[in-house]
Amino acid sequence: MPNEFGFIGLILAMSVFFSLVALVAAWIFRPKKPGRIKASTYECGMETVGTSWVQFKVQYYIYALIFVIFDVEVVFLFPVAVAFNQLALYMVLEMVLFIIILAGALLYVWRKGVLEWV
Amino acid sequence: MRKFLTLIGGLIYRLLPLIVFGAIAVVFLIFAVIRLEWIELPSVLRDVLAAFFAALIGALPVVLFSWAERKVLGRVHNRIGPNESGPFGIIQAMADGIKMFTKEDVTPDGADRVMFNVAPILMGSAAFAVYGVLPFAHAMIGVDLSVALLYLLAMGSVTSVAVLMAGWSSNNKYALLGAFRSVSQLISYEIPLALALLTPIMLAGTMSTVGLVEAQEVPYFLPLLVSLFLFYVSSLAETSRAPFDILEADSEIVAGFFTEYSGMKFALFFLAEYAHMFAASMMTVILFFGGYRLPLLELIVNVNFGETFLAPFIIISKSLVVVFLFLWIRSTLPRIRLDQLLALNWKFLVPLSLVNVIVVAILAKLLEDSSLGLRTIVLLAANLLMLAGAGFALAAAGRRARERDEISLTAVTDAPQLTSIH
Amino acid sequence: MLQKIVFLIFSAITLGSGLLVVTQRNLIRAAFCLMAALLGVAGLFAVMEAGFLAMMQVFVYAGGIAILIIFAVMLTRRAMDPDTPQMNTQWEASVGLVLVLFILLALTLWSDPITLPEINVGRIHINEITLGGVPWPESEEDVGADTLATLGEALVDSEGYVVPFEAASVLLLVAMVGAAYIAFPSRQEPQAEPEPVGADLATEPGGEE
Repeated sequence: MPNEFGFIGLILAMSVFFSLVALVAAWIFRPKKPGRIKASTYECGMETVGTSWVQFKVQYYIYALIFVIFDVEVVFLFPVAVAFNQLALYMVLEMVLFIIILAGALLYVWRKGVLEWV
Repeated sequence: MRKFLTLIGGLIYRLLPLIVFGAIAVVFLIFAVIRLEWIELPSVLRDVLAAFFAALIGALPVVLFSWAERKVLGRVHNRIGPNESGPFGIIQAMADGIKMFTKEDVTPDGADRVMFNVAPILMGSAAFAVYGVLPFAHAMIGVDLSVALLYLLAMGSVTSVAVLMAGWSSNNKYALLGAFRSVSQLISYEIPLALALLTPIMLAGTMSTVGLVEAQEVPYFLPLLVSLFLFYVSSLAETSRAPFDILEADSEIVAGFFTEYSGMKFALFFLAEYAHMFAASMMTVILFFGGYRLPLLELIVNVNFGETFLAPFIIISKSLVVVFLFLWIRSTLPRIRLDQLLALNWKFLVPLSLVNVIVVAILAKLLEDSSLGLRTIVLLAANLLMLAGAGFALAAAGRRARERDEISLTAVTDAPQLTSIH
Repeated sequence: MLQKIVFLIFSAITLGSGLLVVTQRNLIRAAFCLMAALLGVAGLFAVMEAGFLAMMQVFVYAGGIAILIIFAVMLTRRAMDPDTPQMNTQWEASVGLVLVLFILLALTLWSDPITLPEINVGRIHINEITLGGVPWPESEEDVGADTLATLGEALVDSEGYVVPFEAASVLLLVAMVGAAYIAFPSRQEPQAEPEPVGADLATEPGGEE
C-alpha cells in the first residue's frame, strides 16, 4: 500500500473484529439469567451506601497536568532525536537547553511540594 | 472399540504440548508465508491476511503466558504449578478460556451500556494492534512504519483511555477510584518510557523497528544501560505488573477498574494485559538486545542473521527470556504503594531520564567521528557513572527519610520520660 | 478513490463526535465523544500521510489532554447532575451566526473563484465581488522523503525555528509554574516545619546525661 497507515487501519479493524467475535461468541454460549441482586453494584458484599461518586483528591488532576506538560516536551524532542545524526554540536546544545529549562520546571514543582501525595 | 478410543485419547493427551506449540508455530509460519511472498497473492488480499494473522499473533501470548506465569510462580514458591489440565498443565489457558466463555456477563445497574461495552474492545484493540509493527525477521513484519515507536506510545495512551472508560461506566465508586489510580500510574510512567526511547532513536537515526534492529552494530544495551533500566521499569508499570500492580491486587481494591466485569469482557482485559506484556518484551529486545539479529556474533562472523530463517527463533527466544524476567520480578519483589510509586516516577525516574538524554546526546555528538568501540566504551562508562550517581542519590534520600522518621520517633518516645524525670 | 472514501469516513467520525459533544446531556459522555473527535482528527492526519502528526495527536491530545478534561469533569459534582439544560436560551441566534461565518469561510477558501454579479436596483449599486480562488501556497523546494528528520533539523537550526523551540520550553515552564501556583497558592516549604520541633526534643536526653 502506498500509504503505510493503510495497514495500521487494517490491523486496527482486525483487532476490533477479533474482540467483537469473542464477545459475540460468548454472548451465544453464556447463560442469561439476570437477577436484581446479581446486577447490583459491588461493594464488598454489602449494600451500597450513597451515590457512586466520591470527592476525589485534586492530586490526580495535578499529576495529569504535569504529565501533559512533559508529554508536549517529549513530542518536541522526538523529531530532533530522529535528525540527530545530521545535527551540529550547537544544535545538540540547544536541545540540551530545552531539556534543562524543563528540568528546572520539574525542580521548582518538586520543591514547592506539588508532587506530594497529601 | 472402547480400548481403541481410550488409546487414541491417551495419545492425544500425551501429544497436547506438541499440539499447542505446533498451533502457535503454524500461525507464525502462515504469517511468514504471507509476508515473505512464498506464494503469490494479490496485494490487497495479502495485506488483509497479514493483518489478520498479525492480530492473531497478538492473541497467542495469553495461551502461553498465563500457563507459564503460574508454573514459574509455582516453582519459585517451591510448589508445582498447574498440572491437571493436560500434561504439565499446558492447556490451562484453554480451560480458563472455556470457563470465561461460559460465565454469565453481568452488566451492573446504572452502568453506561455503550461505554461499558466499548471499553474492553478498545483495550483489546490497542493491545493487538501493536503487533503490526513488531518484526519477526527482516521482512516478516506487518508494516515497517516509519514512526513505529510513536505508534507504540500512542497505543499505550489508548490503553489508559480504555481504563478510564471502564472504571467510569461501572457505576461503582471502587471501580472509579481504581481507574483513577490506574490512569495516574499509566500516564505518569509514559514520560520516562518516552524519554528512554529517545536515546536509541538518537543513536540509530530512525524510529522504525526494522531500522533500529539494522542499525545496531553493537547491541544497544551496552552504550545505553540506563535507558534499558528506565524502559524496563516503565514497561513494568505500563503493563501493571508487579511490583506496580497495586491496582489489580485483590487485597487492595478487589480488582480495580474491572471489578464489575465478568465473562468474556474480563477475558478481553486479561488477554490485553498479556499481549501488552509480550509486546513490551519484544520491544525491549528490539531496542536494546539486537532484535532478530545477533549483533555481537555478527561482528565476528560476517552473516546477517536477519535474512536467514533463524531470525524468528532468535527474537522469540530473546523475548521469552525477557518475559521470564517479568515473571521472576513478580514473584520476588513486594508491591509498592501508589504514592510511593508516583514519587518513584516523578522524583527519580523522570530526572534520571532527563539527565540520561542530556548525557547521551552530548557524548554521542562529541564522539561522532570516532570508532564504534570507543563510543561504546565511553557511553558505557557514562551510564555506569549515572547509575552510581542515581544509587547514591537514592541512598541519601533513604537516609534522610530514615533520620526524619527516627527524629519523630524519638520525639514521641522521649517526651513522657522528660515529664517523669522532672 | 479509496482515499476519498476513507477521508469521508474519518471526517464523518470527527464531525459526528463533535456534534455529540455539544448535544450530550451527560458530561462524561460528552468528554469521551471529544476524545473520539480527536481520534478522528488523528485519522485524518494519517490519511494525509502525516504519520508523526497523527501519532502525536493520539499521544498528546487523546491520551493526555482529553484525560485531563475527563479528570476535571469527574472531579466536579456537575458530572452527576443531568438536569441542567444542555444549551443556553440564545442558541438559535448563535447557530445562525455560526452558519453565516461558515458560509463566508467556505466561499473564501473555495478553490474556484465565485463571482457575485453586479446588482443595480434603483439607487442601490453593488459592484461585482469575486470570492474564493485563493491558491494554496506551495513551497518551491522539494521537501524530500524523510520529512521527520527535516522537521527535527529545522527545529534546532539557527536559521530555522530554534527561537520558537526555546520559547516553547519557556512557555511550558511558565505553564507548570502557573499550575503549581494556582493549585497551591500559599504553600510553605513542607519539610521546614516538623524538623525543628523534633530536633529540640531529641537533643534533650543527651543533655540530661
